[in-house]
Amino acid sequence: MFWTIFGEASLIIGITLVISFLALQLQNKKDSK
Amino acid sequence: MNTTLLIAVVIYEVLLIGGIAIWLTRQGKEHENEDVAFELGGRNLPVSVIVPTLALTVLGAAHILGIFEMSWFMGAAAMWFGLANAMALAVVCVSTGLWARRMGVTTVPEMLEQLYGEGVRIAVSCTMAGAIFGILTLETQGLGIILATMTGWDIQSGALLGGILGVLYVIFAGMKEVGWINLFNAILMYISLILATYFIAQGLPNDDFSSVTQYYSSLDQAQMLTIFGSAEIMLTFALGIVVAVVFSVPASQLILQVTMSAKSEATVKKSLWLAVPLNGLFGVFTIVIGLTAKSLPEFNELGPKLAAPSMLIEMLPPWLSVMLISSFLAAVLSTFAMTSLGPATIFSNDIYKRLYNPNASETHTAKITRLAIIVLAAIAVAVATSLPPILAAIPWLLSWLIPVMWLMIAGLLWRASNISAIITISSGWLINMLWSFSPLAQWLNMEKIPNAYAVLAVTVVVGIVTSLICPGNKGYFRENSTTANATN
Repeated sequence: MFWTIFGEASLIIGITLVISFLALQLQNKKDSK
Repeated sequence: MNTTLLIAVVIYEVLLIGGIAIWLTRQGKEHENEDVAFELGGRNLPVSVIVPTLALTVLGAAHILGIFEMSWFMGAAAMWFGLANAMALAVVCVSTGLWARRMGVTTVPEMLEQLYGEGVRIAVSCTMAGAIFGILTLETQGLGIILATMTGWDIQSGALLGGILGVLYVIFAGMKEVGWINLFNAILMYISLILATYFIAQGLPNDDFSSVTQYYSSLDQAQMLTIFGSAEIMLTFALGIVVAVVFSVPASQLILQVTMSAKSEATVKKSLWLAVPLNGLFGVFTIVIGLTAKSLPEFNELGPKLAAPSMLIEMLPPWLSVMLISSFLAAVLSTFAMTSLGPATIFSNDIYKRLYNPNASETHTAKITRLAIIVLAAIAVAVATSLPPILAAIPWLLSWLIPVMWLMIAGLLWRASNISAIITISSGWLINMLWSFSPLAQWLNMEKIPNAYAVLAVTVVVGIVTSLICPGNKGYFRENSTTANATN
């Protein structure tokens, strides 16, 4: 049970971090123009 | 009554707070003339302090007491409350937090004055300070409940002791003090959560959580064991809480005061990687504790409010109970500290300094902030017991901040129109009041629609239409593209 909940929560947090990373990359690209 | 436990917990908090306060006060003499030293730590806080402060500021009573109780009814789907806050932190670290740091302001209303003028600053000051103060009163209630559970006292006495500890958490050195105490408490929190989960598993049949899984499966409630729960819970609770939190918290003084205190924008960006998981994963432990307590008959009969805290005190060795309860208390205290510092900073900067004493020195303004912290905390302690349950009140309070989030995004990135701003915030705030205190939702046959949806919909529609119609300027960052690209 613990690892299922931990895994699911980590998945959502992981997706959040990937989207944030992409947003930061996009900003950096825009700023460097 | 567990007096030894209480004394040990209070000694830990007092020693930690006292030690850091003495250290910072000694250091403070060299830095007392720094820009906003008390409210923003001289805008010089490193990643090691910003990470735990971001994570702990939006981790309070609702994460502990609220999740214990919610998991009883909806199972692991209660995790979405924690995940929504983690998502909001990510939004802060990639957008609003960076903008606030870049503009070099001390408060959110000050930021809005640069976009929309003085009227909007004053209106948002009053509303935002009020909404955050509302959260402070709920945190005080949470402190009262945690201390009352430990001691058998009434909630009022628990709230008084909690309020005193909460004021000590912030009063000596402000933001810097909160930040450094948070660093130690975040470490303690995770060590004790991991150890507590291990010890609880050891106390169960087979030395693991398989008996808990069997309990829910035997009741045909396997959906309680996954955060994705049922489709109905996902659509009503999960999505509702994500909308309410993600569209409000990133615009609040509470969290932006932390990023305004960061050494640079790069500090905020780096903090993302640790603050988000640190905050988001906390809920995993509280949910596992809540679900386990319900599955054990001796705690099940105590009901949703008392089962989990009682299990922790009875199943864990005393030293670990002290560690875990200290860390729970610290999580609530850190939110208490920031929810008192936030409105106090708004009062001293946006009301006192802006309207009555524009030439006030840094030292004088810091004195007013300190005074406001004490007054706000005293009122919060006084009203803590006559409040609605924590989870019922939080979405309503957060909904007040949704129109502010719109003003920030529109005014910085798209179009800043003073008239549109006033119409939009008034409409958003009005619908929040009507949704809660009039039969409007009933007339529209939308009683199940949470306040956040209604406020967000009205804010976006009114905001877009009025921005297009009313006269205004280009967004701040579109007009000042050099500022927008600056400073890393």
